[in-house]
Amino acid sequence: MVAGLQADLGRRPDDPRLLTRLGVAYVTRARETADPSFYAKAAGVLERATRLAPGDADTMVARGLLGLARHDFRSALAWGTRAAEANPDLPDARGVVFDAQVELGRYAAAVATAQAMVDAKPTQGSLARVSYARELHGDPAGAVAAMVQAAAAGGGSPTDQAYVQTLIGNLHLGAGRLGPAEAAYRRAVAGQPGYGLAEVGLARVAAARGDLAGAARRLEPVATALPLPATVALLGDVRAAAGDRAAAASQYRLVRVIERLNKANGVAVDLELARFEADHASDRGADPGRVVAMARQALAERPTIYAEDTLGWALRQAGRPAQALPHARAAVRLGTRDALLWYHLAAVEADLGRTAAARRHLAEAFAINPYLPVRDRQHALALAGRLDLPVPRTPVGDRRRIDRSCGLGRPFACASGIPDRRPGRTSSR
Amino acid sequence: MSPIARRGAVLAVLTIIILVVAGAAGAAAHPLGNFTVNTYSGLRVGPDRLDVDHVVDLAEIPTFQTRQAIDTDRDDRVADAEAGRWRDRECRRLAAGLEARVNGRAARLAVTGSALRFPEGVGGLPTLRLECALSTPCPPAPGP
Repeated sequence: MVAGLQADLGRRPDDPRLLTRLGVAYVTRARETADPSFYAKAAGVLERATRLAPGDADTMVARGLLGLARHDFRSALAWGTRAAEANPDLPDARGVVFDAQVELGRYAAAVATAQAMVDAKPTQGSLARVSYARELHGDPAGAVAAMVQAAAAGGGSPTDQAYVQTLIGNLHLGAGRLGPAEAAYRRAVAGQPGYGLAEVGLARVAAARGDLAGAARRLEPVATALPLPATVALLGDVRAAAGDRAAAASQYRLVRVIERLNKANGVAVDLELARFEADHASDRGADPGRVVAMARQALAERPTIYAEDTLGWALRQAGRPAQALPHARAAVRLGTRDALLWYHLAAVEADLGRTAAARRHLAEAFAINPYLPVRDRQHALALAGRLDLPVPRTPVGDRRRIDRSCGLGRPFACASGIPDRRPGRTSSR
Repeated sequence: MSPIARRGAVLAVLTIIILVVAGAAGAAAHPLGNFTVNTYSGLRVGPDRLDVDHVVDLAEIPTFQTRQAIDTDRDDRVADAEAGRWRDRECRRLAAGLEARVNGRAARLAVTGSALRFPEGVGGLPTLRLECALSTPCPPAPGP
């Protein structure tokens, strides 16, 4: 793809359409390889395309995609909005707008964008975004239903299809349904052998089942071929859970190197790095104060529920639970059914002696997903012990059914009515 | 026998990926990305010997992984002694992994020199450049 376009450009070096396609191909290559050095190349050709054809909507979308990939969400939002104005029929433009709005914490606007997208056309791209909007707003069953519709809508590349199946798997895994999660990941790798994100999903399923060796076996090749910081960190967590601290530490060091490379290649990594460092506040050489500063910076740039969670967690790990509490509460303000957010809130409350609230919210976390990520599970169980909370007997969560009343039978009945916001599901005091 | 004819009699079977990035530095040092491993073998054929300049050039990520292996005492620093041991061992290993044939006969490449450097790459991270000078004698080809 890249090579062919480069050859075409050799013959027509000033063709803005070719430049735009090459820019998108570079961004895709960066995503497929996790190598951020492609971003600079993408930026170069896309800036040239803009100079040659300033009004071209495809180029604006491409610059929006690059902004998303580099976590420059303000730029992505601006380019996506301009593209949608230039050509309202361009579905990708509004997709860029939605993704940027979500990452900037502008949830009401994002919901409106998803709604407009799916009303215009229920495509894979629009349904996947409806799914994410529902997931964020605490409607996991509706999220699965929309994502299943997205898979059925088809129309994407084989990679897109594998990605959608992986997202279905992630939704199931987040709800503690290991069997359906595994099935979805397997569908993804059946369509796209070796698909990294699905392999990571299968590793997480293995880890949830307590099969740490199996998880590590799956992660090793992915961490080499597609060294995303989250994947490398997960391999470290699996190694640590298996008792190999030296191997874990080596993976964690690699995470920091990768993020440094990302940063050098123009990717904003404050939130990701703060998230990671907050989890490693007691590692050798850790600097909790610096992590808090990083998380504050990230929250200012990207006021999302996950940035709130990260700052709350960083403050808690730095021994400042009173300051952490408003952020940990803000992280669950949409009612998102993400067990980690509720566990973090419970841990902060426990530090403050708010035992009843802590117990309630930790119970909530285990009810959402009794497995929790491999890194957090032991800590959460220990906290449950301190709070005298009965611990769910995992692994039996596979059999819970998902509610499909919204979706499959009546294809878009749901899509037109949602995603509705659910006020008042924030933490009880 | 002329040097030209002798040259024809030397068959060196080597995996050669030639990447010459002369004069490039910093971000452009690894045009194929921050994850790449580039190797280069330059052959010089003399009247009585075959010299191979074997160069391994690692981008930032593989360099980091390799430096962890070099740092045998795990103090997060690559000491000169550790670097030297790794360099010598690695050149011997690479030499053993290269197959050279002279006049149809397998020839053993000996290490005659080596150098290891860590040029600064993207984001101030080190990269790795290992140079192994290898050599094997070329006996005179059987005369016609």
